[in-house]
Amino acid sequence: MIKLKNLEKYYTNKFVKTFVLRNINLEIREGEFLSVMGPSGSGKSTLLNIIGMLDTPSSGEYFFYDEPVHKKSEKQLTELHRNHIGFVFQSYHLIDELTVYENIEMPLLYQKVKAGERKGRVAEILDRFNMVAKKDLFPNQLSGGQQQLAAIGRAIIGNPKLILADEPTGNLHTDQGKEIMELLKKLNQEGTTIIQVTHSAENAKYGNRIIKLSDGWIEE
Amino acid sequence: MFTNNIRFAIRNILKNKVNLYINVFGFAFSIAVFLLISIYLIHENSFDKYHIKADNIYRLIDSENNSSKIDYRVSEILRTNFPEVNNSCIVQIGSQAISIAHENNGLFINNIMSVDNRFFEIFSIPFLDGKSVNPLPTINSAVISESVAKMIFGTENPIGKEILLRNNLPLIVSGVINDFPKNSSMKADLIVNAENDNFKFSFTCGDYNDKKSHRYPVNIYLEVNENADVSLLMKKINNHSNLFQPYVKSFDVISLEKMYLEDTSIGADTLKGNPYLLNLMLTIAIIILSLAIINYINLSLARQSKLNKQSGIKKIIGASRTDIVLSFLIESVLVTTLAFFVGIILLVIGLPIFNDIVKNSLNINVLLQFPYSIILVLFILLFGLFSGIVPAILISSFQPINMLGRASITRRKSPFRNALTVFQFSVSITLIFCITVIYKQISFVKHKNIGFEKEQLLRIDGSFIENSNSSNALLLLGKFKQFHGINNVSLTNGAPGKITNHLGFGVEGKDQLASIIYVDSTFLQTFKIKQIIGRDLLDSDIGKACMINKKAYEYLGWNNLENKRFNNGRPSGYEVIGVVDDFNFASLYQPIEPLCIIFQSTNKQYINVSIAKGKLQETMAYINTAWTEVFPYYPLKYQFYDDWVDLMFRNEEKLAKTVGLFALLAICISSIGILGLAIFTTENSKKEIGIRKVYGAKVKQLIVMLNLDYIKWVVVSIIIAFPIGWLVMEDWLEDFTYRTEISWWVFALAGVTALGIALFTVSFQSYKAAVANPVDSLRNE
Repeated sequence: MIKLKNLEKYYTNKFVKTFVLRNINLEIREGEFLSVMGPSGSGKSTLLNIIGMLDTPSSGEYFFYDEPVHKKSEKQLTELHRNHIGFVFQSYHLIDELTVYENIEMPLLYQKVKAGERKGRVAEILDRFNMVAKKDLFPNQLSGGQQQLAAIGRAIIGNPKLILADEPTGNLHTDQGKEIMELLKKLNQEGTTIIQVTHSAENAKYGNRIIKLSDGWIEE
Repeated sequence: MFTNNIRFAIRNILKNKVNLYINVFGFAFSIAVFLLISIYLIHENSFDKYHIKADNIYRLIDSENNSSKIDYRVSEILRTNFPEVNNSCIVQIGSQAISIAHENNGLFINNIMSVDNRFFEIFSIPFLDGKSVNPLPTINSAVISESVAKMIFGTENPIGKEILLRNNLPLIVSGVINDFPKNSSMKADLIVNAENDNFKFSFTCGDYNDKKSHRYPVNIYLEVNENADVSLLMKKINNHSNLFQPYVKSFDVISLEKMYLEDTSIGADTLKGNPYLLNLMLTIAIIILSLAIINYINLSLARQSKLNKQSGIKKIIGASRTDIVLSFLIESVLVTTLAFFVGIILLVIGLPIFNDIVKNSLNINVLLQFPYSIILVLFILLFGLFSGIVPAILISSFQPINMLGRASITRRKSPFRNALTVFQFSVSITLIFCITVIYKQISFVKHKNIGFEKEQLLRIDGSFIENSNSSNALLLLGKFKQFHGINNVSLTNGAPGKITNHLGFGVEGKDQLASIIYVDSTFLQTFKIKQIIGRDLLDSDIGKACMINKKAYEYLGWNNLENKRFNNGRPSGYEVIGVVDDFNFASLYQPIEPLCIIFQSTNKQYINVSIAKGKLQETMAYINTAWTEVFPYYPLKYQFYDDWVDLMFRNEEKLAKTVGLFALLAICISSIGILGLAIFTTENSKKEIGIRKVYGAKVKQLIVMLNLDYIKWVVVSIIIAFPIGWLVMEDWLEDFTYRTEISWWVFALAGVTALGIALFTVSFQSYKAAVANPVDSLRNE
């Protein structure tokens, strides 16, 4: 599903190159649950952003379903990640001005899904996450766990093949964190490929493969 | 998607109230100003277009002299020789007030028009009463306006009734017309037949005894065939210039529709608009609109960290750049639409004030008419799109992952935003500068010594007094002289501001004409005009002697007055017995010209009264009573000389008031924007302030630090604004003969005012941020 070949990411500042990712070669198969671990500043989030097409590599190649991502235009990238990738963040990144319902519905609007179908799919997610009663609340009226649930709901509503989760439990207390991890695992069992970035060894174990990053290098 | 976008935009707008108020009011004020100016522009551009044949009507110009005054006989020559000329007519409009009366009911009217019957065939003049074809059947026929008919005849039918013009000329009313509309450059309350020799208002000749040299200059209007090419027609006419000898050598035309704003010829009797004021207003409208747009852009960018996050999330969950841009545009169009409605309310409130300034009665309804209504809707749409497009493009261009980064903790602004702020300050400073110079100039000229005592000096109009009752004028003079509140009285023909007579000096090699005032022996005392050379006036000088002004003395190159005569006006001319110091007797826009003051005892056109200080009220009451006793059927018509001077500057005052009003609005809009900016910048720098406080910064230091950001840009703006303001005002002052200096204090005043406004606007925000508890701001982060 994902192939990274000799991928590097660096920033140039006054003739000094600061490397964030070094010579990354990585293959991720469909259905995998990959945990990326490593200390702060090791390049975990950058790797996730590149895989999620939110950032571009400085050199190297990236194939998504054998499509060369590094050769795509901005428009094509939007199209690709809109239809195949869902994101979950540590700080949820819900839109404060929209209700839970509207936040979850948002990706479908961009995918131009018809109103009737949208309604059904949002209702299904709300039901599945036990959030029907909360659908008209705004993010700041929810607990952290509920916000993350809504964020996951938003990530999966477009039926993505891949979910990218950046420290999904970082802001949650243990019970809530566990609930979220169980949910991700369940999604994986249902066929969704998941890549998570985490500090926690315990959470990393939810994955069926762990890679470690250190100063931009992979130590598998 | 679209309806959802609108829903989300509304929620976004309502979420940030400060932003909403600032943007809506900023836009509303600028929209109100723009609409106000648009209404004015529409009105000024609508002049004379109501005539059905307006497209085909032209006024003839003597292109050699750039004059619209052409002998009346040219009209017929054109009509008979050029088939492209459908019709032509002659028009003269009197420049002086004239009295008309019916039985014992009299009044002064300002506009008397002398025309031939063809005038009514060419122009659209709706008749309320009487025939519209050949409405002036005899040379003594008269057509009157509806309002004059009501004033003189009340409910009586005026047709066939007699009115007495200037107390001695009987006319028969043959028609009543609607009052001329406001947007007509020619206006008349009384229309008389130009075939009557009494109504050939002007006359020139080379030699009075040589009838061939007599000319009767009028304005001539042509109605050309619908299909005629006017430039070809003019070529043809000019190729046949021999037909028009000896009256005119070459012709030009100006179309009726352009006459009001574009006519530069001399001698036109019609009203002229002020294209300078129109261009200025249009410029101000555009500046004010751009200030509001800048506010919007600046505030959007000040909220950038917040907007970035929202747009970043949208991009991550699948929004394309177009989706993001669209959401920004929907928001800005919604804000402008809301502002439009508030702007309409402001317009309704502001229109009467504006009408008062421009002395007009503009109406908002014009905006509802086609095509203006459509233009208005498009304007709002474009205005909204234009405001939203810059932040939309800027914010949507970021990579989504960078947009989710933490908000910046510094007060650093982008160069783009700095430039916008500097633009706003510069506009405000330039406007403050200009308005100060305009007022300084008006005050300079108003308080200039014009060479005679204009305070409490009154000019009463006696132009209706005929020779037959000139004894009444003397009777009135006697009454005035006895009254304790009156210092002096002088009867004159012609007066400062009312000189119509010009004569040659009769001195060889000196062809320039002198302006003439005929005065009695008390003229110099009444006007307190200083005599600088020559002897006192003697009783025996009346009818034989004159004085000239310094300008004439210099022009003639005389060294003394020995045997000097002014050789015109009567067979042996007049002895020049004195020279008076120069005084302004015409427009203060023109330098003083040579003048001759001729002493005679038969004057009665103007009664000039100098009123003692502190006795104005009782004297005016007395003058009224005395007037009614002597001239019971004529209203007292007078003007104070200081009002005459003031009136000369009505245009400048109109300009000053207009620029002042709009400058104030522009400054308000800029201030609103800067306030908004201050609110967001201090909000964004809460953490920085908190950290500085923790490390020992004092409140005063923090306020200075925050204010310095703005002071810096005010200083930059001053450097930009001063040269611009100086250039614009130097250009404007060029037109004045008597002009003020642009002193250093004008610069100082504009700079200090701008600085004051900026500090006043931002200081409270700075203070609020500086005194906040650092614990709160750091915890929030």
